[in-house]
Amino acid sequence: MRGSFMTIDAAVALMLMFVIITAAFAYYQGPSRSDLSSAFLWRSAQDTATVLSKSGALALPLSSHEGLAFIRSILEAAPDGTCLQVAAYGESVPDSLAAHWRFDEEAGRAAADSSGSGLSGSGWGAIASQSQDSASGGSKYFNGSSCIAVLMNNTMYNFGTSTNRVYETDVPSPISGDLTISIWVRTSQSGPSGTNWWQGAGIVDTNKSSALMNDFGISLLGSKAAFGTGQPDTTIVSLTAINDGKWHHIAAKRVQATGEMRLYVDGREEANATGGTGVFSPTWLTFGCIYSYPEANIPSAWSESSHFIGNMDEAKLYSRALSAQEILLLYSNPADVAYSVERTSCPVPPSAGVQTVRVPFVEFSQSRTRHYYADVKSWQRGYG
Amino acid sequence: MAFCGKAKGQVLTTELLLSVSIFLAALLAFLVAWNSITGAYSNESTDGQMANALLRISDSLALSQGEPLDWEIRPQGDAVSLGLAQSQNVLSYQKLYALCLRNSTYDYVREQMGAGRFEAHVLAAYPNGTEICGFGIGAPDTQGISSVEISRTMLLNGEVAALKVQLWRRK
Repeated sequence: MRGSFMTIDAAVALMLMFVIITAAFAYYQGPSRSDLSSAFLWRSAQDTATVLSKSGALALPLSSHEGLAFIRSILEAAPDGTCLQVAAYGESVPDSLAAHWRFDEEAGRAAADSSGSGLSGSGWGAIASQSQDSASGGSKYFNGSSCIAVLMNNTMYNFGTSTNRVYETDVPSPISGDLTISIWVRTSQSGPSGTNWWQGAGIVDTNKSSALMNDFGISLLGSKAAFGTGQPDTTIVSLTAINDGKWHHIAAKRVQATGEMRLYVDGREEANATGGTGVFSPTWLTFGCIYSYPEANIPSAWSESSHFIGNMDEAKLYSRALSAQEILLLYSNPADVAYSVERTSCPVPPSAGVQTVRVPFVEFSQSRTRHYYADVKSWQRGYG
Repeated sequence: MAFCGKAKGQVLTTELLLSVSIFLAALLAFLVAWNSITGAYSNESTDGQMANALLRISDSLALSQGEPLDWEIRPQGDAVSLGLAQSQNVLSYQKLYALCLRNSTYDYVREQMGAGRFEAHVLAAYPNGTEICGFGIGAPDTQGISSVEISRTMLLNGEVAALKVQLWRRK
């Protein structure tokens, strides 16, 4: 009997060893197949992106309907089991775009300007964190003590040992008179009450350009969006409460010659007034706070207050007053999609198992150069 | 004492026979299963190597000019690696036809491509199926064949073309 038990023990041990080795094989082989599949898909996306780029096909749909068919013919050359999508992105309203902060960066303090003007920002205070919840791409979350500042004029500032940060730009201020600000916000905050925008929680704000306080900004005043200009202080307030936890598009424009001011929420005009006609040439533009110290050129005196709590996305600054139609376009197309083409019989990309290759391209038309980029995505047919 | 000793010995022998039998049966079952697993793994592993070789070869053909750059006009032995591109994803007509004309030295060229022990087939075609030219031996449509294939999207004289590369082996 003792011998029998020994045999059973040995058999059990062998079985266990067998199971362990089988599991080890299964574990080892799983990722390998997955890696190979990804490698094949990535090559499909990369090949397609290169061919689209070299054939000049990416810019064609911007000027002709036949362009989409040509792109689709390139997608059809991919292997049978592979789905492909080409989505091109550009500025919905490109003319007079002075700056575009997409807020898609991983680094919380950074705010890159994708317009080419070179007006990238940097933050201080608590870091504004990256959030996937957005109107397009990523967004920035401001936690109530964070602030991102953009140096708008050709100057250098050293904020001393307390922050040990040097800000420098050789970009002249892109705005001086007419302007439009467009931004997406999502907040549940109840802003401070008051009658002037600079009393609210700062969404976008600027410092004065001279002792005459020709500044401007957008804030959360109570539950409403407020847009104001200085000298004399004139503030207009939205009809819609924007602190309902949903994304809202806010646009504000100003015409220098007449002092005309208009405020739009979700593409609809909600307030207007006549303000000052001074020249605006801010040194600083801030997101998430009110720039509260009057003298911009005294580094040690930098001060910020009235912080915003919530997300911001796709902030744009124009050096002219946009039309109501253009503002409606900014509201209706937050991702700035120029066009999108999928391979025949392929649904929209699944949420996983997608390989993406991004390729920039340029459209030349009427002596103007417009910059776009296209995302080429590939995934297995039937996946997801 | 002698009886007891003999009886004890018989009991032990029976137990021994039984235990050895069970052990051998278990060992046999284990070996059969083990052989099946390692065989499957060996096939999987070889297929994985074949897929990796396919990616490497197709990258070389679709993205590079080969080495030396003018291998297509040199003696066959000069080629260190074969590339069919005049630039990335743009096929060179001359290089493509130089490869297609080397079918008579299939084994030698297959080695130059880096296919090793796998059979290789390269086919350039337009998306509508019209073949431009091909090199090598395609996998027969029979059982017992393992194959991997990739299609690389290319440009040839401004037109879209597909460069299909297939590696295969008999199991």
